[in-house]
Amino acid sequence: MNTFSQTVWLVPIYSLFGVLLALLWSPSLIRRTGPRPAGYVSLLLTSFALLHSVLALKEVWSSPIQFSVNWLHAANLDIAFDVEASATTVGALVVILSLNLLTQIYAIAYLEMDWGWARFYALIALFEAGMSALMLTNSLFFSYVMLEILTLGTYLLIGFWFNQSLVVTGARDGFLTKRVGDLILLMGVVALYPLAGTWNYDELTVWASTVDLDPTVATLLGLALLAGPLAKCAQFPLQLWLDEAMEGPMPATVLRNAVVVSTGAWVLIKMQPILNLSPVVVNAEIAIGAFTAVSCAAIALAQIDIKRVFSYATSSYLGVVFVAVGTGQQDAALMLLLTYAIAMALILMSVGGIILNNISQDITQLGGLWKRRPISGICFVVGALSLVAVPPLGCFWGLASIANGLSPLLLAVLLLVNGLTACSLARVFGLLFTGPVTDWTRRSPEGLWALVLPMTILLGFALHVPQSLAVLGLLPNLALVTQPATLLLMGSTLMGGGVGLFLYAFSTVSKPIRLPIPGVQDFLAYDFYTAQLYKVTVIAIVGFLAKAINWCDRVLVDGAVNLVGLLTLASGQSLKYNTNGQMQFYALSILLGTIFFGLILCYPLLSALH
Amino acid sequence: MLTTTKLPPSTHRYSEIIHRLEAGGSMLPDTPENLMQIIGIYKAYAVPMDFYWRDLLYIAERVFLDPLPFFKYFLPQEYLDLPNHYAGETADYRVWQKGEASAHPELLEFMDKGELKQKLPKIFHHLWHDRINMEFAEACMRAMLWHQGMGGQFYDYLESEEYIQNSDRAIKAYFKGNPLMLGLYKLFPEMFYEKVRELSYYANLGLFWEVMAPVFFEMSDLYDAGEFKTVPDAMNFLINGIFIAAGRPIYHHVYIGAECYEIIPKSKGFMWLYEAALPYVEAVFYRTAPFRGTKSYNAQAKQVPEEQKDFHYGILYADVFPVGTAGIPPTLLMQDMFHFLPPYLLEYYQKYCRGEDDILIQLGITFQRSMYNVTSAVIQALRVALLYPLDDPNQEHLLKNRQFFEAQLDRFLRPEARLSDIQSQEYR
Amino acid sequence: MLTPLLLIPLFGAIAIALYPKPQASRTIATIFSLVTLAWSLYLLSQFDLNIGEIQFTEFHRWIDPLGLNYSLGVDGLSLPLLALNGLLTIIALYTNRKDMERSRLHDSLILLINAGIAGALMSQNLLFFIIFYELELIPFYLLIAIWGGEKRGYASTKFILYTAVSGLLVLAAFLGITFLSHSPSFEFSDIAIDNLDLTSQLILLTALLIGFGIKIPLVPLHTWMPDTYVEASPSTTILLGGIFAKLGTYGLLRFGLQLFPATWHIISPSLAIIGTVSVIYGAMNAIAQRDIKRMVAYSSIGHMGYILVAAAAGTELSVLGAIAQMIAHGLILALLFFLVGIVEQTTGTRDLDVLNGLMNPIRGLPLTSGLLILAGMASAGIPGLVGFAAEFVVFQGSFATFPIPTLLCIFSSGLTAVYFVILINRTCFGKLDNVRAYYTRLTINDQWPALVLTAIVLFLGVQPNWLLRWMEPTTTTLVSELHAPAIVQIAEIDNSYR
Repeated sequence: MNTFSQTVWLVPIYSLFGVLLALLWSPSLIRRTGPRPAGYVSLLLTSFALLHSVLALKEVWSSPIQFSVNWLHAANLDIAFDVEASATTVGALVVILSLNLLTQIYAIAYLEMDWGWARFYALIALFEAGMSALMLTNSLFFSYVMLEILTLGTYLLIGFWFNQSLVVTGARDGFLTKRVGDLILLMGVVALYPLAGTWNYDELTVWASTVDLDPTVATLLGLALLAGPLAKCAQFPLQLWLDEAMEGPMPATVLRNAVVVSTGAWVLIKMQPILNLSPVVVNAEIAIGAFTAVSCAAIALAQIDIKRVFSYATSSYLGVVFVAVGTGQQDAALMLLLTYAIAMALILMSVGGIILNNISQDITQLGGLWKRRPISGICFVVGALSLVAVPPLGCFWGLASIANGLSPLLLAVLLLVNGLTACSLARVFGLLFTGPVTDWTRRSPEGLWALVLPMTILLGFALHVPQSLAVLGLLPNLALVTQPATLLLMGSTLMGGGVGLFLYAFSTVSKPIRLPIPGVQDFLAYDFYTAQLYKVTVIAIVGFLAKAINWCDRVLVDGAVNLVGLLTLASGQSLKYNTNGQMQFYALSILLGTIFFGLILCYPLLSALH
Repeated sequence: MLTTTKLPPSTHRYSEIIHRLEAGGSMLPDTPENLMQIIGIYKAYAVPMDFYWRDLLYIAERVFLDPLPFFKYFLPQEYLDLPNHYAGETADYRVWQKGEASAHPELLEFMDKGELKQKLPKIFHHLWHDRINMEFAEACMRAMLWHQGMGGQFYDYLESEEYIQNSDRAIKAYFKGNPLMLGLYKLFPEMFYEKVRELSYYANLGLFWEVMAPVFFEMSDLYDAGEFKTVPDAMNFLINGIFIAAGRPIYHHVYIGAECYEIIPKSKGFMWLYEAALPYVEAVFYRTAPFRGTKSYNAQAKQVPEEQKDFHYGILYADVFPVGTAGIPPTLLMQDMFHFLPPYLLEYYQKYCRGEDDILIQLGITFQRSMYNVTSAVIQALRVALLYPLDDPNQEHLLKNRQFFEAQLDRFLRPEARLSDIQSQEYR
Repeated sequence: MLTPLLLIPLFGAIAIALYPKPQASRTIATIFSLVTLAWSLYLLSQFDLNIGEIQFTEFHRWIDPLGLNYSLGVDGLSLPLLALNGLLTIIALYTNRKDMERSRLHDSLILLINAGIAGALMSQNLLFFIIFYELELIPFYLLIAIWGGEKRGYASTKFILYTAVSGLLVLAAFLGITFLSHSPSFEFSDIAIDNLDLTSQLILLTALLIGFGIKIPLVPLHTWMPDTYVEASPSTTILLGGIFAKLGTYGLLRFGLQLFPATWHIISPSLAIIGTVSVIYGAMNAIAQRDIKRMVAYSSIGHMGYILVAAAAGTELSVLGAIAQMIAHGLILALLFFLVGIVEQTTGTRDLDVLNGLMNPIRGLPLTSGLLILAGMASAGIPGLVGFAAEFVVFQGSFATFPIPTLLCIFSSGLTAVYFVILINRTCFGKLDNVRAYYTRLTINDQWPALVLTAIVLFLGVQPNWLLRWMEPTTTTLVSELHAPAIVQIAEIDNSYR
C-alpha cells in the first residue's frame, strides 16, 4: 500500500487550503468576534499535513516513487510538475512541517496580543505550501516557481506589521533582493531549456554528465543559476535583506532563519551537477560561501541587536553549506542543514521569549536572566552547543564531515567560522544570562505554556538528534571523531567559546568591549556598510536612470511632439490646456470627416433604397 | 468654584487647559457630546472589567502555578459570584447603588451566548474567539510588573525575605506530590518566585479593577438618571471614588485545597491608591511598551527609549487609527468594549465616519477621551492630597498648584500626546 | 455566427438611447453586454481546436468597386480577444460611477466601443477593418472629453490626433498593399503579397508598424498614452489599456507578421530592439512617477513591449506567448486601473507622497489593498498568476531567437517589481494619516469586478492551459507561414543584396 505516498501532493494543498481558511478571519470580514480561529485551523491543517507526510515517509523509506502531472502545454514546450517522494524529500518535508507546527504553537503565545492572526497564519501557511512543494518537486522550473512564491511570502510576512516604517523598508528590500536573485535564476532556467531540453533534475544530472558545453556558456549558465540560492540564502553581497527581515515577528523569524533560507541551499544541492560543468562557477560558489561565512560570523560578533546576531549567523552557516556543496559534499551539507535548522530554531525560540517580556532586543540592556529564566537558558545553551561543533550534538556531525573533506585553506575558514560562532554564542549567553540584572530584566518570568512547550519539545528534538541520526543510519563513521580536522574543529569551538565566555560571562572586563580600532568595529557593526553600498550603487543608478529617462520623456519626447504639433497646426498656439473652441474644431472636423466617410461606405445601401 | 484666577495667565503651551484645571475642570473639554461619550464608554469598559478583575483574582488565587493553564480564562461559578466589595448588600462601601455584588448580567449573558447569540459549550465560544480578551488584562498586569520606579513599596516587597518565605510555603503546598515540579523548584527556585511575583501583580491589578468596575457602573447609572450635567461632574465623582477606595488593602492570597496561603497578607497595609492606582495609571496610561506594529525594536534603530521612565506608549499617547491592524494590542480592549456599548453610543457612532464598520476606532478615540478625564481626576486628586484647594486665597499656594499642573501637562508636550487632538470634537 | 457580436451591442446602444429612464441605462447595457459575452464564450466552446485557420466565416458583398465586403471570421488570435472585450465591457460598466452625469450617453458609448472593437477583430477585409479601427475613436474621444479629469481637453485632443494619424498610416499601408500587389480586392485572403518587391514590402510594413505602434504604443510613439490614460475616467482607461491598445498588437500580428512573413524576418531584429527599449523605458519611467495612475500607465508601455519582442522572435512558442500576453496584460491592467480608480475615488488623491496605510482593516481599504498587491504581483510576473504564465512563454519562446533582448526583458520584469513595490509600500503599507483618513466605506458592490478579474487572473495562472489552448492551432499556422517561405525568400534577398 502506498496510498499516502501517491497522494503526497496533497501536503502543499492542505497548506494552501489553510491560507484560504485563515483569511476568512480577516478583521475586515469578521467584526463581532476575534481572529484567533485562523490560527487554530492553520494548526489543524499543518497537523494533517505533518501526519500525512509521516505516513508517506514510512512508505517511501525503501522505495522512492516519482510521478508527474502536466501543468502547461504550449507548442513545443511541455512543463510537468514532477514529484519525487523519496526518503530525503519526504524526510525534509517532515522536518519542515514539524518546525512549522511548533512555530505556529509558539506564535499563539507570541502574538497573543495581536489582531493580525488571519494574515499571519495565512502567510505562514503560504510559506508552508511553498516549501512543501519545493521539497517535493523534482523540476528546476517548479523550484524556481516555489522560490518566487516564497519571495512573495517573505515580502508580505516581513510586512506583517505594516504600520511600522522600518518594516515597510525591510519588506521592500527583502522582496527586491530576493527577486533579483530569482530573476537571474529565471534567466538561467530559460537559457537551460534549449540546451538540455528538460528541467527534471534527474535528467539534468544525466545531461550534465554527458554534455560537452562551451565553457563560457557553462559559466554564464552556472552563475545565473547560482544567483537564486545566493539571494535566498542571504550570501554576500545580497545578505542585507535578512538583517532587515528581522523587523518581522519572531515566529516568522524562527521559520525564516531555520528553514526558509535553507530552501535556497536545497535548490543549490539539486542544481549542483549543472554548476559542476564550469570550474569557475564552482570556485565562485566556494569563494562566496567562504567569504560570507567568515565575514558574517565576524559581523554577528559585533551586533548589539540580538535578532541580528542570529541573522548573520544564519548567513554564515549557509555560507558553510555553499562551501560544502561546492566541494562536493552534498550529503554532509544536507545533514548540516537539518541539524542547523533544529539548533537555530531552538535558539531563536529561547531568545524570542526573552525579547517578548523584556521589551528589548539590545543585548547590552539585558543581563542576569539565568536564575529567573532557566528553561530559556537551558534551551539557549543546548541550541548553541548544537549549532557549533560540540560532540555529540547536532551540527558537530555535519561540520566534522565537511571539515574532513576540505583543503587546508577552506578548513581554516571553517575553523574560523566555527570559532567565531562559538564566541558570538558565548557572548550572547554571557550578556543575556549572566552578569548584573538591569532595569529591563529585573522582572522576567517565564512565558505562557504555548511559548515554553514548543521550545522544550524542540529541546528534546535537539538532544535526540545524535540518536535519531544513528537510528536513521545517517551518522558518519565514528572514526571521524578522531580525525585531525575534527579535533581541530573541536579545538576551535573550545577556543571561541572560551574567549567568549571569558570576556562576557566570567570577567570584569568593562562592557561594551571596544576593539582597538573603532573603525573596524563599526565596519562590522554596520554590516560592512552594505546598506550604504547599495545606496550609492544600485539604488543610485536605478534612481538616476529613472529620473533621467522620465525627464527625457517629459521634456524631449513629449516636448518634441508638442513642437511638431505646433508646427503642423501652424497656429502658434500650444496644445496644452487648450480648452477653447479650437480643440472642439478639430474634433468636429474629424467627426464630420468620419461621418462623410461613413456615408460613402453606406452609399450602396442608400442607393438600394431608391 | 472660581470664575477667574488671580494669577497672571499661564504661558504653558497648554495654558488653556491649565486654566481649565485651575477652574476645577478636566483636560477634556466640557461638552455634552464629550460627557455622553465618556460615560457610555465607562459603562462599556466596566462590563469586561468585571470579568478582568474576577479572572485576575482567580488566576492569582487558584490557578496559581499551573504549568499548563489551558483553562485559566474559564471562570468557575464561585468567582462569578464573588461579591464585589463596592457593590451589593455586603459591600464595605456601596459605590454602585443599584447593582448586585456578583458578575454583571450583561457579562453573564455574553459569556453564555457570545456574539454568536447561541448557547454553546464554553470551549466552543473560547475557540471561536467569541469571548472576553483576557490577554489585554494580562498585558496591563505585565506593564505594571515590568515598569519600575512608580512609587509605592509593593514592588520592593516582592524581593524581601518575608515574601520569599511566604511563596516557598505556597509553592511547596501547591506541588505536593509532584516530584517533577518540586525537583525543578529545588533546582531553580528563582524561576518559581518570579512566577509568583507575576501572580502577585495579577492580584494587585484585580483588586484595583474591583473598585473601578462599580465606580464606572455607578457613573453610568447617575448619567442615565440625569445627575451628571458636565464633564467636571463626572471627574469629581471619580475623585471621590479615588478617595473612598484609597485605603483598601492590596494583598495576595492563594487557595490550595481548602487552605489559604497569604503571600502578601492584608496586614502589610499596602494601600490601593499608592500600590495599585497610581502605578496603574503610570504604567498603563503613560508608559506601557511600544507596540510592535508601530515601533521597531531594532537596537541600532534606537526607536525604543533607553530608560523605562521615558516610555510613552499608553492610551494618552497612542495613535488609535491603526487599531484593528496587526501589532496593536489595545485592539483587544476595543473589541471587548464593542460588545457592551450602550444604545445611545452605538447610535452616535452610526452617524459618523463608517458607522458600524469602523466602530473599533471610533470607540477607541472615545476611550482615549475618557482616559484623559480619568487622568484629570487623578491629577486633581493628587492636588487635593498633596497641595492646596483651588480657591485658596494665598497667591503662593495657587502658584504651587499651577506649577503642579504645568509639571503634569509637561508630560504631554511630546508630539505623540493626543491632548490637543481630543480638544476637538472632529477627532473621531 | 459572428454578426451577433456586432449587432447585440449596437442594439444595446440604441436601446439605451431610446429607453425613457436614464437611470436604467446600466442595467440595459449590462444585459446586452452579458449576452455578447455569453455569445463569445459560446463561440469559444464551438471553436474547433484542430483548425488553425479562420473559422465561423461570414461573407456578404458590399461595395464591389472598392473591394469592400462584409467579411467576418475569427481564429485563435482574435477569439480570446473577443471574449476579453466582452468581459472588460462589463467591468467598465461597473467601474467608478459615483455621481455620474449623462450615464445614458456613457453607457451607449461603451457599448459602441464594444461593437467597434469586435468589428475590428473579426474583419477579414482590410477596409472593413479600417472602418472599425477609425470609428471607435469617436466614442473614446467623447468618453475622454466628457468624463475625463482636469486636463481632459488636452488629453482628448492629443489622443484623437495621434490615433487618427495611426489610422491614416494603416489605411495608407492597406491601400498600398492592395494596389501595389494588384490584389483583386481588400479581402484578407485575396492579398497576394508575393507580387511586391522587397523595398515596397519594407516601406509598407514600416507604415503599418508606425501606425500600429502608435496604438500599442511603442516608444517613442507613446506620448499620447500616459496623458490619455491618466485623464480618462477609470472605466475608459480600462477599455483603452485593456483592449483598445491590443488592436495595435493584433494588427501587427495579423497584418504585419501574417501578411509579410518574409519581410518580418528582416525587420524583426529592429522590432526586438524597439520592444526591448519600450520594456525598459516604460519600467524606468514608471519608477520615477509619483502618480499611481501614471505609474500603471507607464507599466503598460513596458508590458506591451514584451508582446513586440515575442512577435518579433517569431517562434511558435513566442507568438503563442505574445497572444497570451495580450490577454494576460488586458486582465491585469484592467484590474490595476480598476483598483487605482477606487483608491482615487475614495481617498481623493493619486499622489504616492500623500497616500498611506490603506491596508488598515478598519479605516483603510483592506480588500482593495489586498487585491492591489495581488494585481501588482501579477504584473510583476509572480508565478501562480496569469502574468507569469504568459511572460514565461514569451521569455522561453523568444530566447532562442533573441537571447539578449529576452534577458533584458527578464531584467526589466525586476524593474516592474521595483515600481510595484514602491506603489504598494506607499499606498497599502504604512500608517493612516490622522487628518486625512476619514474615507468612506466601500462595499462588495463597489468591488466585485475586481474580484471577478482576480479570480480569472488566479485561475489562468494556475491553469495556463485554459488560456493557451485556444491560441495554439492558430499560432502553428501563423508561424508555419512565417518559416516556410521565409527561408527561400531570405536566400533570394541575400542574393539580391550582393
